[in-house]
Amino acid sequence: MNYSSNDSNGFQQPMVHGPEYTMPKILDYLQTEWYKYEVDRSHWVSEKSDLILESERKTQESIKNDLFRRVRMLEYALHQERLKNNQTYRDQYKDNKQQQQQTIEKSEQLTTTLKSQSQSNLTRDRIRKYLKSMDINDFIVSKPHSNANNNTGNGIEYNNGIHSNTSHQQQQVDEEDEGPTTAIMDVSALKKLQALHQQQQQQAESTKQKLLEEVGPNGGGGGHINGGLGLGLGGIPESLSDLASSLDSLSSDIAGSSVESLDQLESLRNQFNDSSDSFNNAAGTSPVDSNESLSSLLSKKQSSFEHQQQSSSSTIDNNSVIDNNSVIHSSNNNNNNNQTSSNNEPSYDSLNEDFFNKLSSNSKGRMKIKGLNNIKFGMDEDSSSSQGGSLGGGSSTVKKKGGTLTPVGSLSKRTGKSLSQFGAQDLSDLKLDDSSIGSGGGMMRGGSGIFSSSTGMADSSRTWRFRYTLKSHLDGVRSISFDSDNLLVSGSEDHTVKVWNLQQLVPTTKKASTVEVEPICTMRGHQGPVFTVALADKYIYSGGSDCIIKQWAMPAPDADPYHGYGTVSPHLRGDLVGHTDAVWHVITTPGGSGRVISASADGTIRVWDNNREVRRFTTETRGVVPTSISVSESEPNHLFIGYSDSALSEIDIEAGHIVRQYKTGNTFASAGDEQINKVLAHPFLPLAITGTEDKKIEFWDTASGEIVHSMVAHSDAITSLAIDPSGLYLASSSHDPSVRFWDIASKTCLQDLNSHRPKYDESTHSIAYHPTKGYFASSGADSVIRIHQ
Amino acid sequence: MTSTTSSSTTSEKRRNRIGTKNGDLYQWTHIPYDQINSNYATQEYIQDKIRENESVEDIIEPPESHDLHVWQYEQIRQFTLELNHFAVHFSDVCTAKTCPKMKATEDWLFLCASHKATQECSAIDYFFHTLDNTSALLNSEKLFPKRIEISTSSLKQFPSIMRRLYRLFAHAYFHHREIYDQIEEQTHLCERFVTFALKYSLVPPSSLIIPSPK
Repeated sequence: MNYSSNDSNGFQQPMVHGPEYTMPKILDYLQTEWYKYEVDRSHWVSEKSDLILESERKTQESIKNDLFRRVRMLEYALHQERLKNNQTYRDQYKDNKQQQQQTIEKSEQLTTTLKSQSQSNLTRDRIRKYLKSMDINDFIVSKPHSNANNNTGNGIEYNNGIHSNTSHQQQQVDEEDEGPTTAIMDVSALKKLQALHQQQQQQAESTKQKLLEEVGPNGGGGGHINGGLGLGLGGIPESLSDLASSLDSLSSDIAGSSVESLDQLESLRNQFNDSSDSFNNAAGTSPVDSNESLSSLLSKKQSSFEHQQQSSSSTIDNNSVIDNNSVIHSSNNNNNNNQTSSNNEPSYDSLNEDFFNKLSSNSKGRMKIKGLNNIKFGMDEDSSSSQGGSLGGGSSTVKKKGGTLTPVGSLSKRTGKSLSQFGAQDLSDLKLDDSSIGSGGGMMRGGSGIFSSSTGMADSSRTWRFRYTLKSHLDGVRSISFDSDNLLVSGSEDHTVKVWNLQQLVPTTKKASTVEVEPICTMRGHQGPVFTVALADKYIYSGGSDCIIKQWAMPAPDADPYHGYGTVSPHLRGDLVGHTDAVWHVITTPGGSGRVISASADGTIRVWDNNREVRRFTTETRGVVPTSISVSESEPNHLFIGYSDSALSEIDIEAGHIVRQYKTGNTFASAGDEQINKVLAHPFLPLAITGTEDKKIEFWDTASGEIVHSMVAHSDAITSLAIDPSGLYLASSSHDPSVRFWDIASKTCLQDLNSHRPKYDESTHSIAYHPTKGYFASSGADSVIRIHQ
Repeated sequence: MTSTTSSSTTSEKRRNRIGTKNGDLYQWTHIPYDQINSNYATQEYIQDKIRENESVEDIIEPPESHDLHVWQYEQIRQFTLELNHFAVHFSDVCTAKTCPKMKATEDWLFLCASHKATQECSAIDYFFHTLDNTSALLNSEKLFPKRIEISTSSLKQFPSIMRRLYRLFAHAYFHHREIYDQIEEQTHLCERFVTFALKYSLVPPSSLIIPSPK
């Protein structure tokens, strides 16, 4: 190299190739060291919290095991008691059973059945009462699982679920008590099924009347029992008990268990309740109002999510409806269905051990379903959907169970075979079930952000870990946005918009951050720095200092960056011309209306429809600029605007008037020192959140217009905010140059990421959550995009 | 990192706030190089100089005792950035139809080296493939893991990058002269590029085919 002569003037460091200690290098070294230290520290902190959680979980586990043991003892006592008393009733019931097996014609026998039923009604009620309480207790027992991660909010949701679930079950029982009519209605609902079994149906119809009268209440009982008491298994199979000899004792018990044993049971149960109460306290869920409302809203959101799932799973179910297994699965839905499905069995003579196993798997299945349903039903209530809707929701869960959690089937078969030793075996199985629910939820959590937060476990303790760097921009990256799939769009001060495919980020175990990914497409066309990008269906909108908003077609995910361009801007689809100064924020309206709203330094906000300006709002005060705009998903016509004089207002873009002025501009503050840099309307809470140049995050109640909370959140200007897909967490980025994560309910900081190095006095510009795939990205003045998982 | 402004001579933040009007963009006081503490001091320094409209020689003259490798890297980075902008000016005049081959005069035909096997691309494709490829090289974790220290093994990339980038000017000059002249009048980009290339011997003088304006 022959340029050393150029440096001969240098008097501080005459050596070119020797070590140089320039200020930036020293700083870099210090920062790298410090960063390493920070990484170590955060790892240590997360490990520590893991350990704490682990130990908490263990204690709760042991408490749970203890309670399980108690339940087993109780059951054993009950079982013994029943064995003593069942002999009296056995004969009578055998008669009934034979009566069912023969095709039924004789009404005298029917009356006998009715008689026996009325006799046992009292005891049944008591059993039901008892089981109901046991049912609830069961939930309390299984609660530690969901609490294991300190999520109080979800603990409460769980409780809500229990109550609504119980009442729901009760309703079903009532329906059943009405007898055949309900069942017939249900039969008609299953017309498809019956068309396939028309011949059998007539026979079944008559059988059903008997069966219902006899089994109905017990079936209801079974619904309650499902908490995992072995009794639950006895509920339905009672009428079929001759098929499984081991079941005889159990089945007759239910109809005719003695009052004394129940009394005994009652006292035992009280005891149990006491202990479980104390356990409940020990679990230490402290109900917080805001959490409660949050979780209910959360569940609202989830219900819509589930609806989608439902539609996809229901088709599968319809296809295989003739299949025995699926019939049984759908019968899990409620007890009425249960009856009809058994009616569809060709004849009761052919009922064999196998079918019984399936039935028992059925009741086992229901037990499992409840675990999930308690969340689900709570949700349905919140979203105030119709009864049919909630039933449908229930069935969707059932199908999901049947489909995804295959271990249940085999597991319950086992329980069916070893039914006689129902106590310990059952309960251990139940425990297994619980954990499999947990792990199932965990898997889903990995898959999608929404579901994770609603199953509600690890999310609050979720820590984002830096995974990848996306480098290709040559100057600060001002704006990033995820599409609903795998693409990330970034707009930079180097005048380009780049599109990245996250699927190309192949996780390598060694040095994941050094995976080199090139953008799949670079869009050139802007004549100046790009400040903002927004995504709509198939289009990208970008705006910058060249005043023209450009509309680009979203490239195919597998686009090759070195394909033929042909022209300078092959993806350019349209120009939105009108602004007379830099465009600083562009958003697209939710719901696919295709509208674009832009805020510009020319002091206007413009609404664009099909690339034509349809509305314009001009700031009244000269020199005041709208800096950030946001639209709530729940009210797409209401636009929140943050201004450079720190004013915040909400306007109706259709009517064109101001809905609410949250804050008026501060004319005394020197230009822009308190300006709002980002406003964000919460997707479903009545909440608007602003981040300001003077380091504050402020929460506004959009119902009352009052400020809810204001906090100095960073040590420098806040540049951007993003709300987690669950709606529970907020991320904020700042020039200080950190990214912080906040719990919206408690306003506490959950995590602090130190990310982008400053260039000038700018560092982190933009942050974004992926709507479903669990990515979090930040971009900054260092021209780098960082992906976290 | 609190040191960003502590030793700065100005209390004013060098920052484009959201909502800044075009006229106020980058209007901060430029501070001497030795007072810039950020990791991207060199880039800031170069960009400030360009925005101040300093002479070509001033812009490519490194501050005293500056690491020359870093200086070259940041200059090339800046050239690539500006060439992205440069290329946009040809959006109406240079397409695969008007210039199906990457030529500069009839004598020179350039092959696109951004592919596994070099191939003939249309001029505009050559532009963007080269720019994309250069961006990738400059941001490569292997070649340039740090922007404040350039390993000597990566230095050999500079001449080839410069050689390819120069062809963009050459094509523009010989085939889209009007636009080229307009841009050059405003930015003196090519002049700066050539001066820089010659100063650090990154492009052999023989391949500089655009006649010197002087």
